[in-house]
Amino acid sequence: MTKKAINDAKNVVQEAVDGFLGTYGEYFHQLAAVTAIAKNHMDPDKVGLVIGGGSGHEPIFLEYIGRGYADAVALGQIFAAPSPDIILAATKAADRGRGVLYVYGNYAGDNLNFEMAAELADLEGMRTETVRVMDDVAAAPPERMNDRRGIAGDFYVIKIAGAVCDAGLDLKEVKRVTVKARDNVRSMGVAFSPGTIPGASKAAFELPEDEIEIGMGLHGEPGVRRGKMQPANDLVDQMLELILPDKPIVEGDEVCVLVNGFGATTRLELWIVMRRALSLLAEKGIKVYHSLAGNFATCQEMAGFSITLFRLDEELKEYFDWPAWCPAYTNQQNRE
Amino acid sequence: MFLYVARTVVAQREMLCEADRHVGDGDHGISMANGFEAVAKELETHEYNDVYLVFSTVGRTMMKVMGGASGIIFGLLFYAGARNMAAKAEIDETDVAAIFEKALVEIETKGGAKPGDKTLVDGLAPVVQAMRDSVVGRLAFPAMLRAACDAAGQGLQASKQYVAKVGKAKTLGERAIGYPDAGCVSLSVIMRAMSDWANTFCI
Repeated sequence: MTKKAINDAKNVVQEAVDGFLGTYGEYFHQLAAVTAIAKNHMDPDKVGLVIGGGSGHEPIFLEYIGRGYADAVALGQIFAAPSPDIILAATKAADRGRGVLYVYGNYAGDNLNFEMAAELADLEGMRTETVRVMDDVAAAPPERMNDRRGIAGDFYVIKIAGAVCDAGLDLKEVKRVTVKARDNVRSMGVAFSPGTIPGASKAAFELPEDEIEIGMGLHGEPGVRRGKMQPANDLVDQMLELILPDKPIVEGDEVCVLVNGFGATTRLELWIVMRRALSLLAEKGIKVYHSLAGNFATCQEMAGFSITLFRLDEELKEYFDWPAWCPAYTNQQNRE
Repeated sequence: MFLYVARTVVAQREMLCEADRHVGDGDHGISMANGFEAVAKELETHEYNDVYLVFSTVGRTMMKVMGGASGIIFGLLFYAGARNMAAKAEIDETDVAAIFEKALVEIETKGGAKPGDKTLVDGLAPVVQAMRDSVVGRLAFPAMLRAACDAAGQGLQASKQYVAKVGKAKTLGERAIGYPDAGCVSLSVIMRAMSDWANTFCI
């Protein structure tokens, strides 16, 4: 069993929330009787943004709350969807009368629980809309886009959703722009070794010592290609070869690039991956507007990484640049 | 009736976990037991004059406590046919059949499963058919539940031969053959408990 800095495994989510709020209590608080958090101060007259999903993938979803980000986050237990009551509480906290947008990853558990919450919210007179992140190119072919899982692409979709809500757009417009962002994100991961559920004695999934799996999902869902370990350049080449034709992303396009670590992979490695990704994109005449490396959507101590490309147009660029802060990321930095 | 069902499910917790071990995480039994423990607590501490409210409370409590996709699916079993129904202090055989029929439709739609996918639907579809037949045949409540219970058992046996198309077991492929779907096992336990109660107390 992997050594983890936990106490009683049953309490991991609440204890993590306690520590997080101990640090950011000036900005956020926990909602009564549920594992959900919300901003202390919400500007009136805006559409609310509620995100959520299983815990265990930090910084997502817990830390994507703040200015130009989510207003409330519904937290499930490790790798489990939050129940409708948790999501409903988050919805109530975020709703200021102009409706609430739900953004979450496309997984059966999350879909069913958020749908039920939307039904309950409707009964209480709150309007909701939903955008599911479906960026994992490996999960299903383009004809079955709705079967694709949400992985690190959450990073871009939530950024855009947070920006349009902060800009004061109405619910219909908020949804339109967020859907457009969702439709322009493509990702793929490669797994080196599995993560484990805190307190569990065996790994969340199987992967032999000397093997890797291209396209494996964030909970160990099957990928497209299992094989022996390869140099980083070869992995990046194969992954981009699968990602680029999917939308497609072509010469002349402008993209944001995210190299995301799954938890155990070092920053040294992520920069080596980035090096190849940037050079390949340059070779193909694809402009990179912004790039970022780090752990943004993890699976405990899973080793591996994903590459996400976010194709921009002028409108998406404007909202990507929208000033925002959350504990996971901010674009409010004076560089010089 | 639901208190009886709840106690039976909690007592069968280990058996349900075992059923789940080969085709899932092995935690289905814990989940079901937690769900029904919460149901029992809820029912014991409140008074109800509306049968539909009892059903929908059972469903909502399970959704709240169980979590995941199965929390919603099992919750819908009792909630789908009971929500938004006008209050009734007593319901008859036709009403009960309608509740389970609505549940089947909604579970199939939301869960994306059909008979043969190795899910709860493999047990529930025969249950609904048996209830329909019982209503046509004018069987009384205890007999209807006994028929439904038998149907659930047959659905359970049938599910053993299927490869899972939906849910966690879907990655197992052929390895799932020979084992029943854990949801069908739970459904059988629930139907048997309902049938036993009705055949003991409703004569």
